[in-house]
Amino acid sequence: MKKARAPKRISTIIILCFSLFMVVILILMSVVSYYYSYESMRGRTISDTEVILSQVGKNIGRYISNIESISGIINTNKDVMRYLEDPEAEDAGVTRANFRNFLNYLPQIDKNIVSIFIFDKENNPVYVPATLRMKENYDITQDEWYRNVEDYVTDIPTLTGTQVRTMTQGDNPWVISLSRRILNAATGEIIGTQLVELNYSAIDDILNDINLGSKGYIFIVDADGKMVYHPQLQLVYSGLKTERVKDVLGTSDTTLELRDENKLYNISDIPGTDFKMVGVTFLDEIVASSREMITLYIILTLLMALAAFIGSVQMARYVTKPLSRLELAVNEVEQGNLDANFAIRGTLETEKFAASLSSMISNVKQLMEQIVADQEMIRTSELKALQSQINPHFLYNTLDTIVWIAEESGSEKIKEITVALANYFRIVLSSGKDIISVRDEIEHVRNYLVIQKMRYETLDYKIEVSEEALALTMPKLILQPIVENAIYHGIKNNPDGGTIWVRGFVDKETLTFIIDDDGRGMRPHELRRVFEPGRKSAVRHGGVAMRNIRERIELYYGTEYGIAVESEYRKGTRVIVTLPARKRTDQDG
Amino acid sequence: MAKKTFYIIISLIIAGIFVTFGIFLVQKNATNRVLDATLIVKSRQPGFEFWELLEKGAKEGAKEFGVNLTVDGAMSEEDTEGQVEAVRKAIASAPDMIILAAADRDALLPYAKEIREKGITLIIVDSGLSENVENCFVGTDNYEAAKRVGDAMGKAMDGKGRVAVISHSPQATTAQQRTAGFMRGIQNYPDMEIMGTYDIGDSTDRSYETTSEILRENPDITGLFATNQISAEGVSRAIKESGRDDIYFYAFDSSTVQNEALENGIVDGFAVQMPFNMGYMAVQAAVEAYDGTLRTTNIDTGFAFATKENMCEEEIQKLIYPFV
Repeated sequence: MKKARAPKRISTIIILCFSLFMVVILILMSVVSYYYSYESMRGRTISDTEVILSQVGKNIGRYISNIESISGIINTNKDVMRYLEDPEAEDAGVTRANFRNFLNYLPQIDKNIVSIFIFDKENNPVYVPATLRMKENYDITQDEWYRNVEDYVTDIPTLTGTQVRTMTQGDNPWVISLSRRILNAATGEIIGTQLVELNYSAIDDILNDINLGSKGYIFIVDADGKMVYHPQLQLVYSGLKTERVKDVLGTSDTTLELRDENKLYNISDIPGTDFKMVGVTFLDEIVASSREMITLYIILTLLMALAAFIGSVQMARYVTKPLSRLELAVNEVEQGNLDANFAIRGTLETEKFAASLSSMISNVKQLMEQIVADQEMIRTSELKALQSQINPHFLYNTLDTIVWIAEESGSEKIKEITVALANYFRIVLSSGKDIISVRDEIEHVRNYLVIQKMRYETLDYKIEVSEEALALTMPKLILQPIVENAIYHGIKNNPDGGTIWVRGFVDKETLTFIIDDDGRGMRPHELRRVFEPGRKSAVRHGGVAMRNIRERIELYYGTEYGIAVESEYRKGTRVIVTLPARKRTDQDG
Repeated sequence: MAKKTFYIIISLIIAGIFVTFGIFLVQKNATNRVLDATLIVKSRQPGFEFWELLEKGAKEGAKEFGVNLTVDGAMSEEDTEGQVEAVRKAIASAPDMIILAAADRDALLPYAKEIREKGITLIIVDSGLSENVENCFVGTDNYEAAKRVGDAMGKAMDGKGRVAVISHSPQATTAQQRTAGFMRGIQNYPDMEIMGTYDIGDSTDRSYETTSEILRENPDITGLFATNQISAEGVSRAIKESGRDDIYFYAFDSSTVQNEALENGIVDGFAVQMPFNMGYMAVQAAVEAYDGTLRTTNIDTGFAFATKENMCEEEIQKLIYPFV
């Protein structure tokens, strides 16, 4: 079954639509802003990190090439070479002292060098910093820095990632080392190995101050995946922190997104080394800052929603208030007050609508008044039409002539009937006056009866009207049609003839006429039709006349006055007319 | 529309704005939160690498988890009074959390209770109390580690010989658990005899003197077990000076001295704890306990067993040569 559609208020619709709209906007904005701010921040983070990394890479590269050039100086030092070529030479003591001084001095001019070691081709230490002591019989071939250059026949420097230096006694720091074969300048034969240890804190200085976001950092791995530098190296070593080194070495991309760890890797090579430098930024920071942006967006949207809501309510009010006032006015009209106030201010549409309604209702009012007036006009004009169709003077003159001829020929009856006819018409045609004296009306009835008596000899009549009643006034031509009906429908076809009683009296404020006949009477169904509007049968029973009389009385005096008919078949009919007892006034003309 | 509905919706939207703004502020502040924590170690004796590393780890953790860390403690493991004083001071400064390595399992207990009563998060690191009143214990499973050492020693000595235990302050749970664990390990070898446990307090010199005396008076002794770095270094010195190379010496904790002793064959093996991890994880546990997200009351930081054979391996190197 279909659910009945409940009509909704305009304001509800406006506000509902607005709310829906706001919710959609809110969601859309959140999603879009989240996506875009996340994407743009991610992009910016990546590009920022790339810039920082390339800068840092250059710095580290410079630092390393600086160390390399120092190691190059060591490699080409004549004293070192001469001593390594022939340690047994006569002046070996002098050359050794010379390069010792030189090498002791080097870390002082370059703070990036921690310590320098030189080994001869049998891997025996030739030079060890003065502050350090080698372990006895230490085999350097087990150390990684050595293994990295072991197979070299050239003097290419090689960097080895962070490892512990175990060859010295008591002092075992973690260092990054640069190792290099020393060659005989002339023959190119290997005569020794040098080891320069880099100051870890120098790299730390370069990298530790780099801020990638508030939590981001940089780490460096070598080609074997060994951690060269990490700001939390200890945590990495103890397994509390792990980096996805394998993924870094395995990928050729410059970025690596680790969703599960919330990290973003930016990978770049350090020039001049096989080290890879990885900038780590935290996705949740990007997320957090894009979340911040979203909350800002939401606050903004909510503020807009607040404004828009108040606005929409105001708008709804502006639209609906005149409408509900219109509704009130229309309700009043419905109740019958055609003078309801339609002067409503509001939107153009409502104002127009109200104006149209207002003019429509005033039209209705006018029409109603018109109808009342027209009805009255119709009544009076019916009469007047009748009156105007007869030229009274011509009629009177003719009737006078007939009276004169009748007198001359001594025909009393003709004279009598003609006088009665003349009097009859005088009342009928008395133009302008609707209200006449009861005396005149009764006279009119009498004249009519006189005429009819001439025609129907079996007709008899009695008129009994009190003097009090005769002095009053009444609308004209009320009684005569009733009498006419009584003759035509009651008595005319009655072979025994009949009598008509016309009685009039005043009871308190009411003037009552009772017209009785002892004619045919009416059957009940005929009686019921007496007042029905015009049909052939009704005309036959005088329906039109009776109805007309009733309407005229009601028009003049209201519904408490009027006409009533009682009848019994084969017994007779009684018609009772009630009118207000009114004396003649000037207004009646 | 009804006035009431109008105002309800208006206030809902305004409430929404305030809530979102609140969320915004919380989001901003969540990263800026700083908690106060006090770490009270057992010994601040210079050269006691274990505690230095633990402190370093704790500082690293503090940096990472946004904790303002204060480190305090007595100069010696034996100085229970000094540690109690440090704890009192810490309680008075009302930090969000206290990380304590108890020098005395009984003496510190009432203070630990007081810490909890004051609503301060308490993490016990390394050495525990006689009752578990802390939010969480972070440290080595000493009994298990010592049992393993004992077992290794028994195996190395072919299940025969007399053994002495050189132990640091017996009031510390670490000393008790290690002694007990070691003895349990030795029990697997019925022909071995533990001739005694010697308390050397918190002094390498006392350990050295005690060991020298034991070696002098008991020439038949072939095994020694030292329960921590301080005692072990004294034992190493005594063995080296005695010139005896038939002594099987096993210990707890690495240090520069002990590493060299391992290389030289004076020490045959030691259990390496992870003091750096301990400090770091204690701070992490403290923050988690403070936030109510910690789901455990005991965090085992693990240990490794270093011998002369494996000390060149990078994994062991990473543990015995602390990264400075």
